[in-house]
Amino acid sequence: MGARTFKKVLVGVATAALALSTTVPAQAADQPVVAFSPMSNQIPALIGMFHGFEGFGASQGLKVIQAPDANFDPATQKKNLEALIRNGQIKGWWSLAAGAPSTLRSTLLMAQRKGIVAIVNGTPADYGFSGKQRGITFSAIDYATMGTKLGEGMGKCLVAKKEATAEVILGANPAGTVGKKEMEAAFLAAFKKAAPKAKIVATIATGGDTAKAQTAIRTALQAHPKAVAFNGWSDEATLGAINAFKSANKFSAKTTCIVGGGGNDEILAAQKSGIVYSVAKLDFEGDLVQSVLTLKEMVADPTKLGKLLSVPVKVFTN
Amino acid sequence: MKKFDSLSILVFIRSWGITTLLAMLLIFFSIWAAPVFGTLENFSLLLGNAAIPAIFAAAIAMGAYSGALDLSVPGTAALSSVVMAIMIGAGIDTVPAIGVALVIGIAIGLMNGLIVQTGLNPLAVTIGTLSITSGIAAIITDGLPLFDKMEKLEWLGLTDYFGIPSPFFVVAFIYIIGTIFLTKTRGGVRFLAAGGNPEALRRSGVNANVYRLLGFTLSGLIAAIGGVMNSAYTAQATPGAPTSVLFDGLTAVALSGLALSGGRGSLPKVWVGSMVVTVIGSGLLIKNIQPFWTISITGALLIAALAGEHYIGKAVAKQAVSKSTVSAHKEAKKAEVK
Repeated sequence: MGARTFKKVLVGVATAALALSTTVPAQAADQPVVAFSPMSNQIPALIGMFHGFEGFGASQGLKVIQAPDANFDPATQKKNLEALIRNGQIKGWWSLAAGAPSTLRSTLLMAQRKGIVAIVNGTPADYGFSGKQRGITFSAIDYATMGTKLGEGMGKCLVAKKEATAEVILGANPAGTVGKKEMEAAFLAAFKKAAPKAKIVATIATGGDTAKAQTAIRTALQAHPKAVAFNGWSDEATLGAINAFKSANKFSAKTTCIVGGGGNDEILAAQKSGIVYSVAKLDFEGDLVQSVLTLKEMVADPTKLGKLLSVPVKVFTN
Repeated sequence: MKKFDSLSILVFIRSWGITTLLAMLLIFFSIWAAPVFGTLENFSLLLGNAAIPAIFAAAIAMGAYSGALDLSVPGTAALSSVVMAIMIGAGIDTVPAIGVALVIGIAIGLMNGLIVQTGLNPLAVTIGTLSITSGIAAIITDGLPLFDKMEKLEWLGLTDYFGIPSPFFVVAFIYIIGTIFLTKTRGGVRFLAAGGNPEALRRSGVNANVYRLLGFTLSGLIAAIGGVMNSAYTAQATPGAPTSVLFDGLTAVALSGLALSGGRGSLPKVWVGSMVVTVIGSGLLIKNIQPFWTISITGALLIAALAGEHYIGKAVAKQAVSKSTVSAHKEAKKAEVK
């Protein structure tokens, strides 16, 4: 490409960009822009959630944009949201805290002053507030229910498969996971109630890395060859368990009990085919609808008190 | 009988330190985590568990040998594995799909090498490539994992042959071929020299750039093999670059005593480094010790190994100098007497 042609292209691009930028405010005035800021933009379930938010938001007159990736860093998430607020690019947002929710307290206060609304995950106390707040809706995941459902599922599976006295490898969330304490305590309580004679022989922390979970579970199966059950707290851990049981030649539809929290397509297919006994899935579709409708209401009147919502849990059991 | 002086002991420790450490760990855990750890069955499992980290460690080592740390390894692995998964999902046979994944790895490595040869910083270039490849992998998959028909790869990632998990055979192949290349061929010697002393190579009339390019290409190829193996092992391909493999690989490379500035190092020791990390994790897991200990112990071991390498290296140099000074004095005295 010659220098003159290149210059022409540059002028053309600049003119087009100028034309676009002049149309943006008009579009923004018609359609309020709201951002989606999860803990990471790379988690498959959250990518699906963004597309759902984008689609349903558009049907409700909201233009949904994706905030830059927080990449599990609370400081990055805070910085990204504050940039969107300061630049006047958004009228509201929906965030899933990348770390301790309290990091976003000052961001929420800044947004309140500017009349920008938010839906955040957790309770008012998590963010240092008490009760309902102007322009802020708190959407809490019922971690205890999630743990209870999985614990019940595992216990029922062992009893149904006549393995009530079986050895069990317990899955644990990685340190620092939001809701870890509530989920795991509720799981244990429900599991012990449903299968009181089962013996927990090992506990393994598994996060979002299938290969690592798989390696750890297979090693645990080596140490405890009679173990027949595992509970994954994520799709990755559950998938790792399936592969580990299979590759160790210890998977049997008659005796193995794998339960999982999460519920992507692959794990739900495994549940339908009987490989996974029970899946507790956070009903993000249901949550999506209530969140978008709430966000729409709050954008229309940022001075109103926000709501206290709860994310429903759906259970799929064989 | 040969008399061992302090210099030969120090040289032995420098040469065999990591292997001795692995042997000590195996003995320790065989006693402490008996009866499970010390079995043949568990040893074969350890070989399998160390396989994928060892492949990524080899990819990093190949870059390091030629004097450049290739940080694009996870991105290369992610992109090549998702392209392979798309092809398998579309009904294409696994072998050509794997072939395409490997070609992608080679192309990325070659691209890194060519860009670096223009004079840009290799770290910055490979970080940029990591972002580009991870981004493309996420774009073509819409960020979602691919698992359609991935069970076709079970023969490669989830099957045991002669009681040993299949990934180990891939590792053995890479490490044997790599070691033969580095130690038995002229190209291998030049390849190492390209990282350690490129100027000397240039003065002897050899184009060092060709060998640095080879380092990046091999790194890309092995990273792609790592991506394929990771997908075969987990029965899915994920677009997210597995950045934790960088840490695992770097740990194994550093434990092996390989200089990250290039020029020297032994590929089998990199495998031993991967085994050390795997053995610690496995032993503690069998004893049901909290997994967070594994992270801390591995980190402490890494610092101890680097410090040991540093001080033993210094001690060897000091002893060698004093020994050569003494022998020079002796020679001089002999000459005077004569």
